[in-house]
Amino acid sequence: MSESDPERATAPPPESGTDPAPSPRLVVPVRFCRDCGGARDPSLAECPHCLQRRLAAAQRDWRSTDASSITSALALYFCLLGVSIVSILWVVGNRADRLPVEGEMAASVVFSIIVLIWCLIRQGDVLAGLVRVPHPLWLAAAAAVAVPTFLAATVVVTVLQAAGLKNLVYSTPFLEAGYGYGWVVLTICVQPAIFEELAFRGVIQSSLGAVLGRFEGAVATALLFAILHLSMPSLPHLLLLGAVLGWLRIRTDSLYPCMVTHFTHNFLVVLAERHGGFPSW
Amino acid sequence: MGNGTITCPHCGAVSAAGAFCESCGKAVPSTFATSPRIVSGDALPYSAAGQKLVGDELRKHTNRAAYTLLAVGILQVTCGPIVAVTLANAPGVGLEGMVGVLLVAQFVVAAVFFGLYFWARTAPLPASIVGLAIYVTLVLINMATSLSSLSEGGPRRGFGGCGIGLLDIIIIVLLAQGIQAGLKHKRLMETPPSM
Repeated sequence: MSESDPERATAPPPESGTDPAPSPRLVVPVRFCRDCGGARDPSLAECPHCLQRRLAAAQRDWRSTDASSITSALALYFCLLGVSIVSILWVVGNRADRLPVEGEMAASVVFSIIVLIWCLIRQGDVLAGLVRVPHPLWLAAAAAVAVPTFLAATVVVTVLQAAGLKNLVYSTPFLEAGYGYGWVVLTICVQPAIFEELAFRGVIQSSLGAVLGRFEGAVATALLFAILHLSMPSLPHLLLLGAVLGWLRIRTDSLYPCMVTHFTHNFLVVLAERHGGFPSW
Repeated sequence: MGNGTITCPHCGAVSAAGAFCESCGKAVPSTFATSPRIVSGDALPYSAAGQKLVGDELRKHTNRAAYTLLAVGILQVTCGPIVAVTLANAPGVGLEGMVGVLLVAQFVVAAVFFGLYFWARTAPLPASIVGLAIYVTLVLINMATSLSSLSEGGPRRGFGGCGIGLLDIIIIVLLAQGIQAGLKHKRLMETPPSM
């Protein structure tokens, strides 16, 4: 600040013969905030920096928002895992090869109910993805992108079959139990496409993305999606599918392309089992 | 000098009492008696020095969670084969003759945790969250198989044969602490220092 600054009031000259005592300057127009030292417009009632900090602190209680988002995502994951654990307990306890068809259907219904309850609790996370309908080209692209994920799954399974791993078939138990392909498509294609996407890309990815960032949230969700299926041989292509679905969610900000991709992937699996065009598993 | 005003030692201007001079923006001596402030456990410091201190402490917790992920990976590699052979030979579990499959599963899990450790070096929070979810999943599966094998007279594992041990609890607690510390550290980094 120079001596010639017009905003600085000058002190009267000292009287001759007396020690020049330092005299206080007159109060000058406010140019800096007394709380944060930041520059501010004197015409504003409050410093914009302090106001911004105060509003941010008031709008968001970090402890409840971040922690509740992560808790909600993990709680949903563990509730869905509980359905799988109960299925495992039944299979192990009864020394069976797999769950009966009626058991699979019941597990699907319980899974769907759990997801619907979470959707009601975390409406904000889910509605944002359901309200937005992307351009039809995105839906077509979503169906197309399921083909390479299906091919990746085929490659993985072929390798595992060559290593001597037992085939896992999805539709044969339904057909042997007397249920037609309608039930097969409903249970294996439609239900997972809707409710798994609502759970993972709807609730979990939105919750984790709000805390971790969109990319980290999508990666974490893809990992949880792959692990939840509790199938080690399926881990590689489930991880790939989860990553693609997470990218679609981020790119389109909608759940519909994810549902289309998931449905198409599972439908191609059922189709391959029926027509034997690809190695069955 | 009236009450609630202060003379700036830098520019000599008289302004309302505060931490900074309203004329030149430089720090002024505090008009209030100062003493060490006791900050509660959940409160975040606003000073740069306080944020540095708390941030370093939180960083230790997140690093501890990252090393926990590494430890789990190492345990899977070293002790996993023993667990696989035990499970394959245990009655009532239904895994007889599947040593090879179990070994591969153990190594895949180890690879996942090694991957999570490397992820935790740059992004500890998401890696800790995923690591906790995966580890609790493994513990729950172990509990399910242990309870089934217990009913068939199989070996007892963990507390009361339920399949969960002290090490499992310690790992889960460390990962949960790492997540809490990561959340707090994230919020600390979002808070701009005021002075």
